[in-house]
Amino acid sequence: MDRGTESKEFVDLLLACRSGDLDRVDQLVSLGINVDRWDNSPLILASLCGHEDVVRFLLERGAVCDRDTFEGERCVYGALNDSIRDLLLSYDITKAVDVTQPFAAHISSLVPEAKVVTADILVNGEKLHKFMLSARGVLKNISLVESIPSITTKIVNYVYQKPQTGFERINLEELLSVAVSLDLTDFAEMVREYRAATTPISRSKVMRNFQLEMSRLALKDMSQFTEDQIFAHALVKDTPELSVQEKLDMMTGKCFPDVILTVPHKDGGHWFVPSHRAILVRSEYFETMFRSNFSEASIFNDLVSENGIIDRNRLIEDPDLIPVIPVTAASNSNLLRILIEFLYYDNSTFVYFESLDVLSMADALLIDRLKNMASVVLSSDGDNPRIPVYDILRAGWDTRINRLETYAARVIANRLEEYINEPDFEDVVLESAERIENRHDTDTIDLIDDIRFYLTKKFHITNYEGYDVFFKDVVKDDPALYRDYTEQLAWIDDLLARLGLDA
Amino acid sequence: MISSATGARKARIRPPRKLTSTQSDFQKSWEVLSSAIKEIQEKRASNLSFEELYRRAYNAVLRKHGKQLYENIKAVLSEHLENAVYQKLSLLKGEQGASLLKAVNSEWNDFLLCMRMISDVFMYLDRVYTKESFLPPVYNMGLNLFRDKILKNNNHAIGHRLVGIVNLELNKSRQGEFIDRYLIKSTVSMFESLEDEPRTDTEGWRGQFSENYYSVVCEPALMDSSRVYFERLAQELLSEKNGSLYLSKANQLMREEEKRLILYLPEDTYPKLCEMMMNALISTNLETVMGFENGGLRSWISENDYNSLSLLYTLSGSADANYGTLRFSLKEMIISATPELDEKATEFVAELQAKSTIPAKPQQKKKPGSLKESSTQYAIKWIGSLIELKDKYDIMLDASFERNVLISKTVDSAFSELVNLNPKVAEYLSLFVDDGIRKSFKEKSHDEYESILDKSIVIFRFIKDKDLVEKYYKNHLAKRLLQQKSFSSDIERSMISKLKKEVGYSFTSKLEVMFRDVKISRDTSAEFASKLAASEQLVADYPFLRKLELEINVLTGTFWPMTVNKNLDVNFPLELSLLREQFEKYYGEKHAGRKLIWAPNSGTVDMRIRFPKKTYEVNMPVYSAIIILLLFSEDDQKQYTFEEIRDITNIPENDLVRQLQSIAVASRSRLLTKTPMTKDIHPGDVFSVNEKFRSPMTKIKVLTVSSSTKLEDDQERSHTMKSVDADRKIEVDAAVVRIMKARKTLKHNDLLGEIIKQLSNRFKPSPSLMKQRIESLIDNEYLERDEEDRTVYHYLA
Repeated sequence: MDRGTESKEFVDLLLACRSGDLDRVDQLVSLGINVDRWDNSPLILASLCGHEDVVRFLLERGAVCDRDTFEGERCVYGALNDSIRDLLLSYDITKAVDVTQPFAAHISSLVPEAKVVTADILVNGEKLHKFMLSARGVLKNISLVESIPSITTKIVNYVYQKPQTGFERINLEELLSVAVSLDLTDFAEMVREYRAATTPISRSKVMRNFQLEMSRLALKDMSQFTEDQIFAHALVKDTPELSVQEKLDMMTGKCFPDVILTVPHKDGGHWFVPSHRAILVRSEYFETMFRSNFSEASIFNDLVSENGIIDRNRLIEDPDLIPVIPVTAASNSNLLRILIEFLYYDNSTFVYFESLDVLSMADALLIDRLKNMASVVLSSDGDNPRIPVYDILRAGWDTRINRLETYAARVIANRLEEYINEPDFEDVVLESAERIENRHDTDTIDLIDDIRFYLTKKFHITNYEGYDVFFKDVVKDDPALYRDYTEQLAWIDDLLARLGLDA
Repeated sequence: MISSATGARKARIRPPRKLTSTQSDFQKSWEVLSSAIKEIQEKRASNLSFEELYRRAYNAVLRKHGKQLYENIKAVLSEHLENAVYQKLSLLKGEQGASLLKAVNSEWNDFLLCMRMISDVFMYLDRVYTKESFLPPVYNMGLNLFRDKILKNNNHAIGHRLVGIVNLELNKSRQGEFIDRYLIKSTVSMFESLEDEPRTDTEGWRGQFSENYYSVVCEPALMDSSRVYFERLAQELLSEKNGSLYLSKANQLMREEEKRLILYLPEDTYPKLCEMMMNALISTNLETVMGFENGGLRSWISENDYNSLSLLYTLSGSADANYGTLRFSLKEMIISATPELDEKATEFVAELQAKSTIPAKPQQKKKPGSLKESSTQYAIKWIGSLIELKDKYDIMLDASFERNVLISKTVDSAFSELVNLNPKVAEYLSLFVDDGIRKSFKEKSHDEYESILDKSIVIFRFIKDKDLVEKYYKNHLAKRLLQQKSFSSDIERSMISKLKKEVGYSFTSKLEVMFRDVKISRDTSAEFASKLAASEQLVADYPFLRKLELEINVLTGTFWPMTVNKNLDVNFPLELSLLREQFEKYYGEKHAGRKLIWAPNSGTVDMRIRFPKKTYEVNMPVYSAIIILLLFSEDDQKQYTFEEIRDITNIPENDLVRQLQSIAVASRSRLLTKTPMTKDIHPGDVFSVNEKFRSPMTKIKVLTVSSSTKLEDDQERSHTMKSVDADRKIEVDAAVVRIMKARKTLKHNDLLGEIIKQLSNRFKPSPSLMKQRIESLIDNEYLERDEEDRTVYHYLA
C-alpha cells in the first residue's frame, strides 16, 4: 500500500476506534495497519471513549501501553473507566503477548491435537503437518530439527505460532545454529537479541517483540505458500473431473494437500485447488464436514495410521482417494480465492463489488469474522452506494447482519425523495413487515423505525424518542428543516396507509 | 482498494437478489434430504455427500422454508421412532429385565449417532430458523421425540419398565449380586439426557434449569424404593437391641451404599440419597440407639468404649452438624451423675470406717468426732470423684469427639449444672484442697498435685457461689497457716495464684495478706527472742525467761476469718504474762499506734511436764497451759472444782469445758483426773493431776475439737450462710454504688444486669436481694427514683 491510502485507512481506523466499531477495526487492522503509529492514538482513542472490546482487540494486536512512556501514561490516565484501566495495566510491557488473533489462535490449536485428525508427520512424537512445515521453511531440514528434542519444541512453537515466553534451559548456541541452518534469519536474529539481553525484563521485551514479529512473519510465509504452492498447483479444466495423474501431480509437490476444492472458473471451465483440511476447519462448515461421518470425511478414517496421523503414502498410492469437494457457496474462482486467502493468512482485501458475494459465502460457510468484514466493506460506500440498497438490505436480513439493515435505512432516509416512490421500496417495506409477523405480534416495522430515526438525524431534530406521542415535545430547532422533516414523515405514513400497514 | 464512489446508484450491476423458490423446488430437496435421513438411520451415511445435503438444507432455509423443513424432519423422525424403534422394543415384553435395558441402550446409542449426523446436516437451520423461533435445535428435538415416542409412549410403558428394572438391579446389587454396572449407568445417563418438556410459563427459557426424565420419573422412584429399603434395614438392626452393633453395622452398610451410589447414580442424586439414608439409619434412631442398655451411650461411657463413641460422633455429626441429640443425651448423662457421686463417697466412707474400726477395738462405740470426721472424708471423696468424672469426659472429648467445640461447651455447662446441684459444693471443694495441702499431696509429685489443683480450679469455675468458696477457703487456710499444717507453702502459693488467675486479684488479696502476716510474724518472733535474750536486767530478775520461747502470730484483724473477743480478760500465769508484757512493749516501740489484742484461744504452748514415771513433752492449747500453769504446776496434790478453775483462770465457760475435756477426759492426753469419771464436764466436777498418766510417746499433743478442718454441721452452716449473706449485702451495695457512680442514670433492668455482670465472679445475686439493696440505698440517699419514670434511678453525689 502506498502512503496515501495508508493514511486514509489510518484515519478510518481512528474513527472506528472512536466510535467503538470493533468489526471495522478488525477489518482495517487485518489490512496490515500498524496500530502503534501516531503515538498510540488508536489505543488512546478507544480507551478514552470507553470501548473496552476495541481496547482489548488493539492490545492483542500488539498495541503497546507502556507506563514508562508519556503515551502509555496518557493512555492509562485517560481510560474512561476502571475496567479499561485495569485492562491496560494488565497488558503491561513485561507480559507476553496473548496470541488470540484468530489466525494465530487457529494455527496454534492444530498442535498437539486438532479437532479433526489432519497431522501427517511425526516429529519427535509431535503430530505435525507437512504443509505447515513446508510453508514455514522447516520441512527440508526436518532431521536437523528432530535431532535436539528441546529445540524441536521451540521450532514447533515458531511454526505453529505458539506463545513462547523465553528460552530457559535451552542451549542458545544450538538453537541459534539450527535457526541459521534452517535459514530462519528473523528467528536467529531474535535468539541473538535474547542472548544479548541480560535482565528478565529486557528478555521478555525481546520475546514480546518477537511474538509480534513472528505473527507478521507467519502471515508472510503463509501468503507466500498460498501463492507458490496452492494457487500455483491449481488447475483449470473443461471437465468436472480430474485424472489420477493430475491428482498425483498436485499431491507430490511441496503443497501436501489432503483435499481438492473445486468451483466454476470465472472465465469458464472448472477450477481445482489443492487445499488442507487443517486450515479449512477454520470455517465451522468445513469443520463439521470433516468431523462428521459423511463421504467427504469417511475416507480419512481408513487413512489414519497406528500412530494417529494421516498416512500420505496411501493417498499417493491411490490418488483417487483424495476428496474433490465442490464449494458451491463460492460462486466462482474469484470467491474461492478470497476464501482461501482469508483462511490461510487472514487476508481480507476484496473489492467493494465482491463484498456481497463474500458476505453470502461467509454466511453459508459459517465464518462470522469474514461475514463481519464483508458487511463493513458493504456498508462503507457512503450515502449513494453503487450496489442497490435493496440488495444490501436483503443481504442484511438473510445473513442477520444488523449493521447492513441500519446502513440501508440510513441510505434510504437520506435520499427518501428518490426511494419513496420506487416499487422496490414498497416491496422491502412489505418484506420487513412480514419478517416481524413471523416473529412477534407487535406492530412496529424495523425498517420504518430505522428510517424515521435517520430522518431525525438528517434534519437535525433533537429529542427524538421514536414515538409519535413525544412529537409535540420535539424542539423545533429550525422551522424549515422541521417542515421538511414532517413532510417526509408524512410520505412514509402515506406509503404505509397505501400498503395497509399500521406502524 | 475501494475506488471512489462514482457509479450512479441506478446503474444496476446485477439483478435484485431477492431469493425465491417454488414449492416444487423444496419438495425436490426434501426428497433428497429425507432419503439421506433414512440412509443415516440405516448406517449407510458414508456415501452421502455432506456438501450436497448441507447445500440443500441451506438453500431451503434461505428461501424461507425453514418451518416446513423443521416440521418435516420432526415427522420423519417421529415416524421412524414410532414404527421402527418402538415396535421393536415393545416386542421384548416378556423378556428379562437386563435384556430390555440392553436393547434400549443400543437403540439409544444408534439414535444419538444418527442425530449427531442429522443435526450436522441441518446446522444452518438451527442457526437461523430454530434459534429465531425459540425452538429446540434439531438434535434436541430428536431427543425429545425419543423421550415421547419411546419412553413416554403408551403411558410410559417402556419408561416405567426401565425405571423398575434399574430399581430392581440396584436392589440386587444391595443384596450382593453382581449386576451390569455399565448398563445401569448408561441407562441413567440416557434418562438424564432427556429433558422434560419446557414449562409453558417460561417460554424461551430452556436449558440448565429444566428437569429431565431422570429427575422427574426415575429419581423419585429410586428414592421411594431406597427409603423402604433403608427403613427395613434400620428395623432389622434395631431388633438386635445393641447400640455398638447398630452403629458399626449401619456405618458399614452406609459406606457400601455410598460406593455403590457413586458407581451407578448421577452426582445430584448422591447427596439426596445419602441424606435420606443418614436420616433413616441414624437421625431417626439415634436416640433409641444411645438409649440401649446393651451398648448404649451409658455403657460406652462407663466402659470407655472410645471406638463406639467415635463412631457415634462421626455418624451423628454427619446426620446433624450440631450434634443435637448427642449433646442432649450427654447433658442428661452428666447432670444425672449426682447419685453416682454420692454413692461413691458413701462407699468410700464405709470402707474407711470398716478399716479403722476392725483393727482397733470393735466393741468400742463410735467416737463422738467420727461422724464429722467421716462426713469430711465424704466431701473430699465427693470432689475427688467429680474430678475423676470430669477427667473421664475430658479424655473422651479428645479420644472420640475431636474436641468438638459444641460438645465441649455442652459438657462444661452440664458439669456446671451438676456441680451446683450440690449446695455444699463450695465447702466440699475447699475441704478437698485443704486435705490435699495438709496430707494427701505429700505422696504426690509436683506435677501430680499441680494437675489436681488445676482440676480443682476447673470445678471452682463451675461453682456459681464463688464467694462461698472464698469464705471456706479462708477459714481453712487460716487454720493451716496458724497450725503450720500445710506441708509446703509453695503449694499454697500455687493454689492462690491459680485462683487469682481465675477470678482476679480482689478474690485473693485477703489470702495474700494472711500469708504476709504469718511470714512477718516469724521474723518478729525471732527478733523479739534476741531482744529478750539481750535484756540482761530482766533475765536476771526472772531466770526462767531463759527457758521461754515465744512464737507469735500478729494477724491483721480484718483479714482473718476468726473472731477475736476484745473483752477477754484471762488470767495469764506469770510466765505468759511476762512474755505478753515484754512483747507488747517491744511491739509498741516498733509499731507505734497499733493495738494488739491477744487471742489465747488460738495458740498453743509446748511444755515439759514431769510425772512420777516419766517426763513428757506436751503441746497444748494456750488455755490448757493456763489451767495447768496457774493451778497445777506448783502443788500436784491440789484439787479444784470446775467453778474454782473458771474463777481463777477467767476462761470463758464454754472454752473451759472444751479444754477440760481435752486434758481430763480424752484418753491420750488425760493429764488431769476428773471426779466423777464421766465423759462430760459438769459444774461441781473436781480435777486433780493425773499421777498415773502414761503414754507410749514422749511427745504428746493435746487436741482440741477445733484443731482440724471438718465439714460444718448444720448449725455452723447456717452461721456461715448468715455471715455470707451479710457480706453479699455489702457487695451488692458496693456494686450498685460503683455502677451508678459511673453511669449516673440507669433503668432498673439495666442496673440489675450490670450488677449481675459485676458480681459474676463472686456469686449470682437473687433479684429480691438486689431490689432490697437498691431500696436500702434509696433510703440512705445514695440513689433516687426518677420523678416521672419510676423504673429509672439517679445517682446522688
